[in-house]
Amino acid sequence: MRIKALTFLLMIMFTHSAHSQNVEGFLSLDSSIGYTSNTFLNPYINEWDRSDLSGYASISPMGQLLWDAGNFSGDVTSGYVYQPLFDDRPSFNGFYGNTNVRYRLSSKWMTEIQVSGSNFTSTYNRSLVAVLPSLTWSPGFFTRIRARAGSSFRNYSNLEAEGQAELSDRVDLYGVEIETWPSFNWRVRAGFNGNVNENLIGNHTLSFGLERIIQQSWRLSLQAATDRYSTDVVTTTGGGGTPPIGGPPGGGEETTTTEESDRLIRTGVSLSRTFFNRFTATASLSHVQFFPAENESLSDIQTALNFRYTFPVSRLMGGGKKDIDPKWDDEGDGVVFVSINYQDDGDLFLVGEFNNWERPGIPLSKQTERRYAAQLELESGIYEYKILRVVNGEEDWIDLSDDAMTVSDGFGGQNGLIYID
Amino acid sequence: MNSKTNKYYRTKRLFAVIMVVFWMPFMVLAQQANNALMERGVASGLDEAQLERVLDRANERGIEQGDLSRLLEPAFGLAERDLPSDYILQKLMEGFAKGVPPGRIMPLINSIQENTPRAVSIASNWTEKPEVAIFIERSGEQGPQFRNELVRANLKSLTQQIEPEILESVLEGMGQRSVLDKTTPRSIIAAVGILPDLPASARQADAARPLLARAVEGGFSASDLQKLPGAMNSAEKRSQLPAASVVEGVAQQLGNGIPASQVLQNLFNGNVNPGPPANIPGRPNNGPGRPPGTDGNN
Repeated sequence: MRIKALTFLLMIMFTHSAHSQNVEGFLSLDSSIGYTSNTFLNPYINEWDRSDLSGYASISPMGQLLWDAGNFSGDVTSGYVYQPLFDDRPSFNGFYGNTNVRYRLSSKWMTEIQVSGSNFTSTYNRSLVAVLPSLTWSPGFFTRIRARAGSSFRNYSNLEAEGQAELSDRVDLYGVEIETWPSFNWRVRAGFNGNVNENLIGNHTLSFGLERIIQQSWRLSLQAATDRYSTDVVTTTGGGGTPPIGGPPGGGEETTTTEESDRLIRTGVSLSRTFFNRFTATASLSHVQFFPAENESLSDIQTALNFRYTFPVSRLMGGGKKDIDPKWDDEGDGVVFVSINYQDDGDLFLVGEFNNWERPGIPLSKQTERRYAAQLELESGIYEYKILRVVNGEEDWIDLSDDAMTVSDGFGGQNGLIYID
Repeated sequence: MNSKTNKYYRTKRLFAVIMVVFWMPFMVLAQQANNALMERGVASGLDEAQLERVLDRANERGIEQGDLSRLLEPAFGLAERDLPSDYILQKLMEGFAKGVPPGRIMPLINSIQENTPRAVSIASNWTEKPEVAIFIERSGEQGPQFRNELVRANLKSLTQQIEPEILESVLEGMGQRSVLDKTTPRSIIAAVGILPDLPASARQADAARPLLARAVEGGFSASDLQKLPGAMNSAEKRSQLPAASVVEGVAQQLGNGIPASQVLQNLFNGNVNPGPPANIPGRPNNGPGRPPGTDGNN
């Protein structure tokens, strides 16, 4: 009975919200092949392990749901990773999930909470949960500054070595980041993130990223970051042993605490290219230099090729993708070819400024089962148009897809728009 | 054929004759009214063929003469002042084709008439600037044609509640040499044309000017610019940084989500998008140290 009532309540909520929110879903498949001398540089593992120089491959199916309703918006991401290492270490695999919920306080202020978690298994099992609320200020369209603070919880359990106790810890984090776009071709990001468990700024990361967008489909990224990890080293001297040089005379015991710090310097470069809007290939090279307080520095590299294919599952609710996205090809000498993918009953016609809005208009002839096309002769200029469908003598206008160029018609509707050079 | 059938046909013919006789005066009157409108329009300087088309469409759609006369009056007024009136004629034909009632067409037509002088003056002032004149000439565009298209783009914006000051500011931003060097006349027209479709926060002079100037300077084509309102609206709904959303939108990658590696880096890394700091070489009081069961700290 309770389950039925709950189901009924959920259905009411769903039906109600369907009128006011947009939901989009995507599935993607990420795969990569790479080589690293330290799995710290492997984005899927990110644990310090220099025990082997290893190639690796990975595959990760992932689902993503984006939604917005009023001032609320959010996304939910969940995926699985399988990553075999090309040495004698076992593969690394597991699940991960991430949820962001945002609330727009005003046009410039936004609050957000990120909850993420993962569970991975290799020679050990690692679980991670992080909760990171944040506050974002956008002084303009090109800049945003975000402050965040939260905690992450980690748990390690060893699957191979018997008798190993579980290790759990909590890290409290804070960070301030700035992202700015000097133009639509350049993105600059910088951040200062710290770990408050030891002292406020003793453990921190200072990062900088520069991205150049080239002809929309190419992206060149440069990243640099420096991490500092400080440790209080407690030294006890005296108490029976030979006093150290400079130690207290007379064999008494003295405790001294000194701060030691390790430093990491990370740099990286990546180049990615998107094909057909959905397929992205990325080549990356990264380097880390570790400067321990007392030992010689260590250097590691990673290089990888990543491939990613994304496709929309559906646009589930209001504001979803509509039917038609006409493709216009200017074939020169004033000849323009328009084609439309359409699969339904009726005949299609183009009506617009090029024929002085005369109905039914220019017929689109059926080329294949789903493809309609027409050839027009147009002078250079800007033209507004609509697509008219005639079914059994009944005429109606077909909405254009969200991807098509449209413009308000002044009567409360939308017209398609085409520029002819 | 029996007498009953003959009687039926006779009655039908008689009815038809009566209808024609009674309807004829109305047809004559309508034709006379059309002729009067045509004469008035041609006298005011409207294109005869275009006006004839408008009248034919109005008759086909059954627009009453009084309504038609009122709808055309703003076009006559503009033509008499030697101002462009073609946009009104196009909008009338569009409205008739879409079955928009005259009462809903009228406010738009009145608004076009009211805003045309301002649209012309804004376009003229801008195109007469020396650097803009050079830009038009260099791009191989016909000056008068470009000006007419700009007037029309201005009108689209002005009739949809875009303040003239915003238009002037946007055009001023795009009139800088650094911007003109990287764009085409079509992109300028597109930038002006999209103003009404931008979200409210972007329809302010101080916001729209840098937004559009940077887009045009960044080499956005006319069709790229056309995607900008959608991307801006999407950014607003999803609380994303508009610049990032615009770049994704122009590249038609708005719905591509976040790569898995990036999601995971956000989870683990103290990178620009922070998460828990990664496990660096273990120290007793630096988190849990290296993963248990591994000897990776070397």
